Amino acid sequence: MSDETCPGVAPEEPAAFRRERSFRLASVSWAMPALIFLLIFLVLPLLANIARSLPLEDPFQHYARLLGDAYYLGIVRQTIKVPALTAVACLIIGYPVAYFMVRHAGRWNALIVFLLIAPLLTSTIMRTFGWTVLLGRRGLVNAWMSDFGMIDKAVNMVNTEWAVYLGLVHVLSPFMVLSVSSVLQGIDRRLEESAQILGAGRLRVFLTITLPLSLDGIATGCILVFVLASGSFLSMLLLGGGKVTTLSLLIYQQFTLTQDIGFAAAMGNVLLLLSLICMAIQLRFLRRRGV
Amino acid sequence: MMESVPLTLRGIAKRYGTAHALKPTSLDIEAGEMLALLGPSGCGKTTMLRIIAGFTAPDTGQVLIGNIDVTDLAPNRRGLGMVFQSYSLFPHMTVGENIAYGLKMRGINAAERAHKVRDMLDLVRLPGFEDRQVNHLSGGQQQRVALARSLVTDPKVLLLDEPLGALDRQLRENMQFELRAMQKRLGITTIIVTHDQEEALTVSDRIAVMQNGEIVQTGAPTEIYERPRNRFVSEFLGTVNIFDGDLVASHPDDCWSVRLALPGAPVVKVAGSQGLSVSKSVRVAVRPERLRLNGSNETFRACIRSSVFRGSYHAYELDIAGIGGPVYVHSNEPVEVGDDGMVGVAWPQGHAVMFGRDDGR
Repeated sequence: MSDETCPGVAPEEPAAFRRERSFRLASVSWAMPALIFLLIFLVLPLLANIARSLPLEDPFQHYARLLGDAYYLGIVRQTIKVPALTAVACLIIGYPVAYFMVRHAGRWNALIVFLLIAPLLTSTIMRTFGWTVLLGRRGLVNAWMSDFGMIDKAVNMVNTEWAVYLGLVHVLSPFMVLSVSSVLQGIDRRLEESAQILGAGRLRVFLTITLPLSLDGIATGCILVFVLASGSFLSMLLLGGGKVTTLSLLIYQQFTLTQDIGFAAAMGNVLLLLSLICMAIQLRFLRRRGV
Repeated sequence: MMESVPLTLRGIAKRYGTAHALKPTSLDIEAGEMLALLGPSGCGKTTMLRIIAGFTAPDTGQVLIGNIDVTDLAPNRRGLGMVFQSYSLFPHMTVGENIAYGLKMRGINAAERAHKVRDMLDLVRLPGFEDRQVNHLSGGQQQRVALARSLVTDPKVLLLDEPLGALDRQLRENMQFELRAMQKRLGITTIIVTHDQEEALTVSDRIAVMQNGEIVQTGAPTEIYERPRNRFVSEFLGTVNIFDGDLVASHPDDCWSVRLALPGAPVVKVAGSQGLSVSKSVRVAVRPERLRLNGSNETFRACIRSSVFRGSYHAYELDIAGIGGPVYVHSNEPVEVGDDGMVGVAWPQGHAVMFGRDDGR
């Protein structure tokens, strides 16, 4: 490879062509450290993981168990349902925030962006754990509600499905806001004004112009949230109390408790496949819209 | 086709903080008239257009369309058409869907929409373009589609915000004539905002020249060009030569004798304006194409600094001893220059205007 791309080897090539070749060589060699890093720490482990999930005596036993057993199939279904609902919730909460940021916040925009990004600098464990403090039996929310006489005895709020969604939406909604707002930012206000002049009221302008033009941001945000939610297990672990089990939580359990590493590897690959499908959908979506 | 309606602005004003975007301004635009708002950027012309459109609420004053007060009406209920400089075609719709948008908002059925879209595309000479994607069109074609989209709903008033600004020169000139012809044919009351004086002169019935948030002069294109009220208007409408002078005598035909501050102190006759008295200092403005070189009755002599052939005319830059800047002369014929490089310049009778020393800057 190295002597083939060496610029001095092909003197009969025209100068312009040679310059282009050497430029390309330069760009590849600058990328080499990163490529080597990725090879050692991403590609090889993934290949090893695939190998680990296919034991020699019965190569497909783990996959058969995962996709044949009703319990595990239910978990796979849960792994699609929980991130999907989280994405929808993030969209419903995040879109208005993004719209406000871009259209009405003006000079406060920078502050809002800061407030959105600042929590991302804190560890997810800390933020998730915060909810157990707030929602716990002796937590702040219960204390307030009983102070105001809304409840007689403490309500169990941690270790429920709701708490899991709350935690996921809290952690992931900034990604939705940022995805949507970056696309909204690019929509020319004159388009909305043109629609208005042509007779559309505010709602019609939003439904026929703003919303269709921000579909890219919505899709990007949803896929981002979906992928991140499907890979996260902290919310399920700390807030779900076993009520919500997804593949990533199961992998964690298989690794740390059962130590069935082959089965965990198989689940990891299924999860990876799910993410890859999402990425493919997103790429197709973006390409179709010619962005 | 619908009836043309007049547009009236009564004392509208807009401030942003302490800055006057638009000082209290009144303006009457007749039914079927095409008025150009002409001025440099930041003069308030776009603010005025946005107030008429309803995107900006005026601090004071009223907007009347066809004698109906629309000041508090939302933009979508004013029955206007508008074309932006960037055309603002909806990128997620075809040409046909773009044009049909306004009809759809009015609840007109699909068959009639298709029919009207076809008519509009014929009008703007893009027949059969219904199913094209807007981002595959050229600038000129997008411009026509934007115009079709704004006209299809039979708007009472058409607002054009620098509509030709993004086109190249050749296309722009063609479109100016086409726009003018179309506006006359439809008889629609139209306001065009532009900073291009040639465009304003070409397309409009009347021009309102704006400066620092107010209208400084309104009038027919020839009037604005030939009889500018102050220095700003005269300079904004094209190249102009400004001479200092003093009034020496008045004549019964409303003309004045002005002694120009030039070598030999020539005295010329200039049409007067109000508020003048003998011995007052004035500025006299004259267009470069009105000055004559090497004619009879030369008023002063000047040295040719440079000459440029501009295609349809020759442009000369003259130096006159004793005055600061150069004097420009446009001549259809090339000029014979003597050995000393000097030419005689003849003053045109009736083609100069004067204003006070402090008018407009």
